Amino acid sequence: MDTQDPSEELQLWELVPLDDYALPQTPAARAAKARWVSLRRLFGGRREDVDAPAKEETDLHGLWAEQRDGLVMPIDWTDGAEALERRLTKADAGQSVCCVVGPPRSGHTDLLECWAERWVVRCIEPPAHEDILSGGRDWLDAWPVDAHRWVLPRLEHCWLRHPAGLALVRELLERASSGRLGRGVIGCDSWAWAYLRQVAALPSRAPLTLQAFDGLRLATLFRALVGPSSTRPVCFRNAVTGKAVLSIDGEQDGNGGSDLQYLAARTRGSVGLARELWRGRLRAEPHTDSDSGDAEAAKEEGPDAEGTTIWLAAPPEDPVLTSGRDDELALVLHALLLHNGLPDQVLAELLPLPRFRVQGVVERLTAAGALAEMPDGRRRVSAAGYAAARELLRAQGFLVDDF
Amino acid sequence: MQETLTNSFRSLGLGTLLELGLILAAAVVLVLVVQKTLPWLANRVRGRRRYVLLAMVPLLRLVIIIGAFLLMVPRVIDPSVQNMVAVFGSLGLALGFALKDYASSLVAGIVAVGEAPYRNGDWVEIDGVYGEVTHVGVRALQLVTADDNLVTIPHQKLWTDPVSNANNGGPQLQCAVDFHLRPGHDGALVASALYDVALTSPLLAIERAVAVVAEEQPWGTRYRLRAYPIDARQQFRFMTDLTLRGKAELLRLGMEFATTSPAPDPEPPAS
Repeated sequence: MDTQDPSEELQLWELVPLDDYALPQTPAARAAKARWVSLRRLFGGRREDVDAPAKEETDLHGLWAEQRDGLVMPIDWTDGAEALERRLTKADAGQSVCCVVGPPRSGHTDLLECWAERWVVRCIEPPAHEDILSGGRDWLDAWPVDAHRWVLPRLEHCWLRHPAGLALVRELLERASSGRLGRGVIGCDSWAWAYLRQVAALPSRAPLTLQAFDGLRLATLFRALVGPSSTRPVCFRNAVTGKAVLSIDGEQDGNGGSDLQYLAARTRGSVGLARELWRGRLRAEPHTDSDSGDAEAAKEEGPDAEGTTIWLAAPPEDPVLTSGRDDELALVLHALLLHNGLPDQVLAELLPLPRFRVQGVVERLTAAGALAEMPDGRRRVSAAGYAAARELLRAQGFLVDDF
Repeated sequence: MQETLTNSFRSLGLGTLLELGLILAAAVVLVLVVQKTLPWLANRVRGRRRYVLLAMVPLLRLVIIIGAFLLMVPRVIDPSVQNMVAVFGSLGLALGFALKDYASSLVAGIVAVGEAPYRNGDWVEIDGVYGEVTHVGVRALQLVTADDNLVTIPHQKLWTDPVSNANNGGPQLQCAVDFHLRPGHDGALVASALYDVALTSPLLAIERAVAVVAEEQPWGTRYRLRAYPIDARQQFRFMTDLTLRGKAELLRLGMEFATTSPAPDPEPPAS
């Protein structure tokens, strides 16, 4: 981050109205291949990679957590928070509340928390599930209306898809829109937003969102995420094709090409999701232990490319989610996406399925890698499973988000 | 007449018989392939594509049968106008007397393909039988009811009975569930609660309209909740979900369900 000029930062973190979100497009060749794989699956075929990889997966090993942290540091949201503040200042006239919407794992919650910390804004935690269903208004009545500004980063955790689970959020939105809660910012997951649009009166002002991270933005970001401990130039290479995906050296050449564009399209522009998938693909050769480069490949690229070579394993295959008549998977996935994760016991209360069936489906999906349990006890759709889950739900006619 | 008919037919040599056999075999194979492949494929996709694929089955079968017929006729008879009138006139007369109902169903089957009052995948009610159309044959259609019974209904019913089609080639159909409450309650609160019951159903097609219709009765108020499930095949599950959660929500709100039969008319005053 430190080496970038302000104009580049401004472009990297851009908050735009929801309608201006520019979904990254899949490179044509990749899109054709994906359609072919999808067609083969429809007819019961299995994926077969005929191309011999430049580096066999077995010749590579995963990196230690510290090594990964050094190569893909947590995102520094400071610049994003400044971009948000600029945007709010510019368009704040007469508006009591502004909404910021983002797809799952996009990082909009982190952005809002960073903004709140930096500008000393009161951050409001969502109510407990019991409070949502009880119909009480204690949580709302305790709102800090005297605060200069407030931020509610997780609107998706303030309601439940239950007959008794909408009253609180409707009241909240009504109070917020009318200005009775003072000035504030509401963050919301895109799936919850799509649902709430159907069942509640949302603030009239168009919500903001982080502009999608395309291949170019991802290249800029991933360069910035390489920690200062990497003193030597780092080259990220695709282990399947052998081609350089990203080079981090003094000149910062290369923009990631179709690999990063594909990653951007697969994650639908979600920066947090892209970072997670990128981080999970990092590999190194055992004998080099990620400290020495691949000599041959480096020679091909020229003398400037010498340094640490990090291999990128093939993108993880989408978990195979049973389609067709197995509606229970879709019901579980949809409930989890709408609420951006739920504890198991709450999930079972929201579905028209026996508890043991819900538990069975959750375990199957977790074993397939489509779900992951979060430290806060919520079960969420995993980064690797998000694309497949979204496609399954879209194909089955469920409500999906706008991203 | 008999002589005209006899003269109309060509002498069938071994080669012609072989050709006829091949055309017939090819038509049968094609029909079987269509009848197996398209439903198999349709069950692997969702939404409108499923219904389009299913609806193509009888249409393609009709095209194959007509094609085979057109290929076979010139090999059997000399295709002059006079000959055709004589042969088909006689055939029609024979069918009209001997196989009247069968022929009627065959013709109705062709009309059914053209007018499409029902297609594979539609939920229809014919003559009091409600179910999903699983096969539209040449003579009859087959329904699978909610009790998993297979019912075969001749197309002939098309001439005399109304056909009620719930989804008409689309993936969605309207479902309605009733709630009967005793009088003396807040109707607006009930309507609002039932509306939310539908909106929070995981099976709801949320972009479609939800409606609550109230009707006052002598014993109380009947509320009818109308909504659309995401997929027509989920209709019974959807209705069960609405019923159970609706009941739970109304009980939570302290509503009382009507449990008695309608009150009898008051006795006329004794004269």
